[in-house]
Amino acid sequence: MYRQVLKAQWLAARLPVVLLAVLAFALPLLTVTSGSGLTNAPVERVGQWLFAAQQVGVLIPGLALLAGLLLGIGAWVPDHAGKHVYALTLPVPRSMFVLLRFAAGATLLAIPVVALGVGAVVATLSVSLPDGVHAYPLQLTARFAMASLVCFAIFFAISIATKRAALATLGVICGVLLADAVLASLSIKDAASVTASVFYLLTNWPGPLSILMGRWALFDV
Amino acid sequence: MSYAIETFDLAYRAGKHFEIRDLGLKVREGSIYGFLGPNGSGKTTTIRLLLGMLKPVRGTITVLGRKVPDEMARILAHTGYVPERPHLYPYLSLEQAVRYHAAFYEGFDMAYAGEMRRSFGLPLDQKLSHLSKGEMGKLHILLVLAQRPNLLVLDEPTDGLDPVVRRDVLSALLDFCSQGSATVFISSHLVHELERICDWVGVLDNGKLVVELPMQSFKNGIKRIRVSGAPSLVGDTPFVLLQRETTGTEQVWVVRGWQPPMAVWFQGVGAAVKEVMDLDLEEGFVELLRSSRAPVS
Amino acid sequence: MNGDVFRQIDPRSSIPLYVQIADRIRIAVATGEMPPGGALPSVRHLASQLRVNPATVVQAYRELEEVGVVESRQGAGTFVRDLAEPKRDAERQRLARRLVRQLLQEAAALGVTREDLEQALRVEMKVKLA
Repeated sequence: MYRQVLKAQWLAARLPVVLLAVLAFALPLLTVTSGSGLTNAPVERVGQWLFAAQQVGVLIPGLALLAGLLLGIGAWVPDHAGKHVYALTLPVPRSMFVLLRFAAGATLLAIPVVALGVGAVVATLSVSLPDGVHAYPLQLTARFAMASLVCFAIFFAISIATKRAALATLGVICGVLLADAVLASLSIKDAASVTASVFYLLTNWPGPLSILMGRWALFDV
Repeated sequence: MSYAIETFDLAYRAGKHFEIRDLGLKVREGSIYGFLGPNGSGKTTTIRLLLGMLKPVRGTITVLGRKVPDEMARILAHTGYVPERPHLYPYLSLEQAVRYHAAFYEGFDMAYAGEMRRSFGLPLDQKLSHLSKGEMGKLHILLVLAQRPNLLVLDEPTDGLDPVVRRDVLSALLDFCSQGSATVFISSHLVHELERICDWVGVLDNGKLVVELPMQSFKNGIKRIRVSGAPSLVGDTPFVLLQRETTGTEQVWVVRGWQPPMAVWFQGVGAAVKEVMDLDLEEGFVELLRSSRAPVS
Repeated sequence: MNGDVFRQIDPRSSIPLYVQIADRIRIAVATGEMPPGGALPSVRHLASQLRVNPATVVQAYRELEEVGVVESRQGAGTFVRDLAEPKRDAERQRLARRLVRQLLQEAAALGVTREDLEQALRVEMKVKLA
């Protein structure tokens, strides 16, 4: 059963997975484009390069979010078209089917993760690092894996939800933005932005999106 | 007597209006049961209730001896379902779709599936989205028959298919039925098709089961009778009076449950039977619906 | 076996399907189209071919067995009984009488007299023999 679900999911998500893998492979390599002749370069030069590397590094959690979004939403697109009737009339309990789809999606997620890992290793090997600067290809890959999995789980859950739940989520988001607009128009002094507060809650531990925050650098001191 | 499908006091409502009321279906094991009813009578809703896709407001449903929805997975393992609208994944090829489906059913007969595919002339590597309506219809019946299920639930399986494809689908279905003792529950508004293959018929109108009879009784039992000298008021009758129409000096009575000896009753009220006319299933069905909607005065 | 034998099965007729099927087989046996000892199509095959309920075919075969036209052999199928000549003649005569009965009924309904019929018979049969 799992094999067939995986196969079906792969056939539906082939293109996005390959695209994500290509991007995941390329990003670490981008961080070393300006890395020639660093071994004995002056500190400022190294500092500049590290800063540039971190700029690119910010894109990696973005990619994790994208991977989670595409594979999470994509997992249920074929079923949505038929209003889930096919899945509901198979002799498999609903919970089991959800698990199968999740496992298949997570398996496909491994492809861009591995691509990132390979890219990171290649990038690390292609540059001779100055003293004091280390490369963290494996840590970066592991972090990317976790982040994509969390994002995948979130979007997977949203995708499977009924129309009502999805609309409710959308409604909450709109409500938050609206609250901010109202507060701004009332010009209350020192009023904290509602959006900012929600963002803070989500992105700081134990908020679910906290995993995307922080420094994402392949090379660091 | 064991029933493949049995419902008791089943009711369903989505919104204010009751779609299904007091439904008591009894589908005998091994029978080919035709579920007849006009469009919008609640046939598809009933099927969705039977397969656990909808939750009833009231009542019990037992399929293959097990309670719905408690043992749904077990029931579905032995049930082949062909929905009104195709619900397979359109981006899969025919071969991929068959393999996917097969993975979920223990006793799936790949050889039988291959046999049917060849006799239906379905191409292996065609994407489902490129299949014609007829080919899709054939694929659906292929998948459920290859499961070798104990129960087949078919929701308008030949609707919208051309006559040649309809024959192929029905032939395959009957071929399967002759091999074993599967029960078939087939809903359709194509009365003539059901007439040939069903041995039981249940008529649904406006969410209520109007009648449930062996096919032969249903067909033979409904007659149009030309009567002369009939009284204006009618008391108890040995048959069920569905309709009465006056044409000139005579009346035409449409009755259910007619048997020839009942002609004596007419003599008893001073009337005479001029002619007893047979109705085919379609005509009988129409008369039954007319009478159930506007009870006879 | 010739598929035309069953061409006119009519589910809308008041005659039950199994009777229609059994009748057709009786005709085929009487005319020799289904020879003695020959096998009847399997229930499976006939039900699928005619698109009728297999139970209907079973009923037809049982009916035929009861009147002695066919016999079923365990595991092998149903076969046309090797009827002696007189029995086959009787079968044909039975059919002939039925045809005439139908003819007379129709003629009466259409207002065709016996004389008209006899005249027509003579003309038609002369044509046939010629």
